Amino acid sequence: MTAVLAASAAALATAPAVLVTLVAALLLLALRAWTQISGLTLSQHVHRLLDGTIGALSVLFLLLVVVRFVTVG
Amino acid sequence: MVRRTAMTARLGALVPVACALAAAALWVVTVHRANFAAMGRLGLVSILGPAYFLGLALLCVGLAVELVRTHPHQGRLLGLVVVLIVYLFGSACAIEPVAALTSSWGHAGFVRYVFVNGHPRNGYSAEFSWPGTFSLFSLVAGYMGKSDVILLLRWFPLAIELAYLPAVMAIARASGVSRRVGWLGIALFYGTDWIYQDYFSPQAVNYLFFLVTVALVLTCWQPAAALVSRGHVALRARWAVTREAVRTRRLLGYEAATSWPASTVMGAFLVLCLVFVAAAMSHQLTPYAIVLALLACLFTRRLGRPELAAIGFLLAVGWLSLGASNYWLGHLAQIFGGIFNFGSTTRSNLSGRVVGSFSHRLIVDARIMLTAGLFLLAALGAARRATASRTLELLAIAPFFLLAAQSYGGEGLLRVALLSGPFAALLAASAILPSREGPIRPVLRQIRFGRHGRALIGVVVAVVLLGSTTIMSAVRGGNDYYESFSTAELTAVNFIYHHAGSKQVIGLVAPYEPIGQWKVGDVVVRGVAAAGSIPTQKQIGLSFVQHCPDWVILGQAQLHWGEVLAGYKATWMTSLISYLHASGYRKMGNFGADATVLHILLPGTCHLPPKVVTRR
Repeated sequence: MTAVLAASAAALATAPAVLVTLVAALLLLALRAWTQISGLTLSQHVHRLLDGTIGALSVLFLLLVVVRFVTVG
Repeated sequence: MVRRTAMTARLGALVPVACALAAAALWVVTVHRANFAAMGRLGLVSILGPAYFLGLALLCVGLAVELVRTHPHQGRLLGLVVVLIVYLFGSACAIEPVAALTSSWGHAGFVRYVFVNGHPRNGYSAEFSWPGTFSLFSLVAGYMGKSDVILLLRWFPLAIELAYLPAVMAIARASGVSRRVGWLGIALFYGTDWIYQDYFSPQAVNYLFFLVTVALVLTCWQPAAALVSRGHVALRARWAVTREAVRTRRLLGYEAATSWPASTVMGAFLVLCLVFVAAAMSHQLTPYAIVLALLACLFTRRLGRPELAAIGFLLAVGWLSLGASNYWLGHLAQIFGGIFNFGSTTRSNLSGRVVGSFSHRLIVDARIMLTAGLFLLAALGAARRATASRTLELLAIAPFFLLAAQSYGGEGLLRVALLSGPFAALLAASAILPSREGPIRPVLRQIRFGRHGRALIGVVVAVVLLGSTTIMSAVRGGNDYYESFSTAELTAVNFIYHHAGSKQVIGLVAPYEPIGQWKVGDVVVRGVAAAGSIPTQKQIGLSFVQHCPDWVILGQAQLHWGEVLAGYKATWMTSLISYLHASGYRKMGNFGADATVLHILLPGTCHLPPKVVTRR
């Protein structure tokens, strides 16, 4: 995400910001599922990092959706 | 002695087959004899005749006989259930000359628009914000070598109900109930599914997505470990076990296990993700119902990959924010205003529907009683059965959380009953044939019926099935008096579309005609009572004069709507036609007594009839 995209609420409410966070969260969720299903052992540190990033991205995505509702709707 | 027992068993096997064959023959007789034009205020049931109910009774007896046999035959049960589905969902398709419900014709129009233009129309209808189903069927239309799917409309309800069957069978098989309970639950599900959401619509297709998702998850994952020991457990211990449901370990999916190879699980995961994408862009409500169902599975140790629930939710919200912005722009209060407003939701969903003439209220009351009966029986089943996990109970409850969000245009409760239906039906079947196996012990003690127990259970099964399917037959087609259409009405509508110019307006009193399938966005269809309000007869005439639509279609479906729902006199439409004649409209074409087409020759020249002007 570039600095321009995070410059204002109106910029955050644009579709690219929402889409980028959505795709990022979905990819990480798919990665997490793949590692678990295929029995790939991750270190606890990597596991926490992955879970934390997914959580943060999901929260950011929901925030951006709300911002989009408020500013555009 | 052994020979006689074998003979009895063989004869016992013949009874269900004979019942199914006789019922099928009686259905053909029913359909052949039914006279659509003679339909009365009670709808489809008024023209079904005794052969239909005799066939239905034979089917229920056949099912009961097969279900109480020592080893029920899966093939025979499948055959009986298929005939039952044809009875309950195919009768209207076979008897009514054209597809029922205006919405199905409107959806066919959306499909045609997507086929012709290659994209949905912006700012036209909320449903175009979730165009997945329309895109799918425009593809189907292309494969058929057509530009529309009107050919599919009439038999769509039966086809989609049959398409639900494999998924419902998989749910029954994987939900932890016995085969016997599973088949009874399937019969009860179809025998109480009066909610007419199987017409050609995105929700009908998305219901299939919902069932497939739950079926795949339940088949893939099983509870990893038993939680409680056998024997009667104190309430405190039960509460402690219930609290386990929200432990992190369970929410991360570690308490569900699968016996499938990793590659198969990965394949199932990808298929589910594809289903979520399709559901997210096809329907407003179903993706959230899928997420709630996945959470129910997660809490009860039947989902090993919590990522699925998160992916489903993110996709649904993502589409709402990005793909459906046409829908929510300027309507945010309407979408989010009803959150946690349970009073308003209940009013609009329940009491708002119990209106109209005595016959209509009778149908609505019977519908409410049938659904309430199913859920009461389901509650009894939950208390009577022993099980390995409370998945079915939670799956039946989960859709109710959708009501917290909004009333869904007064249809939320209907959708919740539909989404809970398969699970409530399996629980209801457990009330009659409760399982005694499983670490979670029943709340109610087992009832012993003595040596005639099996015969008694057979009678109970037959009575419950016959009761529910009879009421279901009466209430499902209860609105067909004004929601089904004659061939003349369809011909009249097609006549208007053929002659209507661009941007012309077609006026109706109420939205009950086979309309909307052509010229989407080019010709406007406007009903006086479109918003569900019931105007007075005077208001109808004045509205037509004021808005002066270029064309007016008045058919028998609208006439019946006026009699049943609006409480008008039987002659109201004749009076309206005279009024419109005096206002400048001229009759076009000849469609018999079933439909009248009126046209204003010079646009915008409608005037009040001379009598009314003199009075003023």
